[in-house]
Amino acid sequence: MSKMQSWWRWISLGCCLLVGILGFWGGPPALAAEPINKMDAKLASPFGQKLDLNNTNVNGFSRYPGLYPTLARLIVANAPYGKVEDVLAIPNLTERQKEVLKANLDNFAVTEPEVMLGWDRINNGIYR
Amino acid sequence: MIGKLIGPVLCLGIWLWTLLATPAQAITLDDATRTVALNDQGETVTLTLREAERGKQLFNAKCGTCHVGGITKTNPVVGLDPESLALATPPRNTVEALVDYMKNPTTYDGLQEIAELHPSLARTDIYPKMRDLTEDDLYAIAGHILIQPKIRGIQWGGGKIYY
Repeated sequence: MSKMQSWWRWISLGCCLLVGILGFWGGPPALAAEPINKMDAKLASPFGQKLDLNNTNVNGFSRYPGLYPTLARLIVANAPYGKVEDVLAIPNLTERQKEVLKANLDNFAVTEPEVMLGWDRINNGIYR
Repeated sequence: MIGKLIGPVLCLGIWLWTLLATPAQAITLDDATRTVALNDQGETVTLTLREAERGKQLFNAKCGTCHVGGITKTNPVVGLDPESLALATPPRNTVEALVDYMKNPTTYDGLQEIAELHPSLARTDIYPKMRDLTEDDLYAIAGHILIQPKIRGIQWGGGKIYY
């Protein structure tokens, strides 16, 4: 073995050690932060549990009786809302429609309108 | 001797097996399956086997074009599955409510009459295939709609992924 080869051997061994040490100290902190995408974060808000007046699509309103399709269409068309009670201020509601809305106020929630939803705001295209 | 007999004996055995096995394997609707909700007061009614058969034939002939397999082709959000029927306004998960619908259809929230859009006895002038339906026929069709989920489970109204 020549002197040159042995020199290279030590250099490469040193590099391996350096990368290993850097990897050991540098690696764990990057993994420590829980990765979460924006949609999961949105689903963790009331949007994921209740009928979100600013973000739930028309089809979602079929979960509770009396809302789909007429009121669902009106609610989506008149969004956004500042608070849940604003839904009663939709113009030209009939008395019966107001009653249905009042009975469902507990099922409603309001979060920030989410641009990311795009057309899913109207129809998410999930059919049977 | 045994070699000569084994053929005829096998044939006889297979013939006897088909004779015994066929009636037992035929699908029969028992009374419990044919018992469905009559109205929202909790009353139930048991369809006869003949009514159930007639309901199936009529449903496929009159409703099956759009409601094949219990779905709604023109709006897959609302099907004929028990959950969708129960969440309608008024609830449509009973024989009487379904018969009422076939006479005077309304939107899912019950706010609008849609006799011009959904075939019914109200507008046989624009939906002539509804003309020959009698009260007994409507009863049989409603019964069929409520019996199917008991036999087919999620396949009824579950959509094409469950076919």
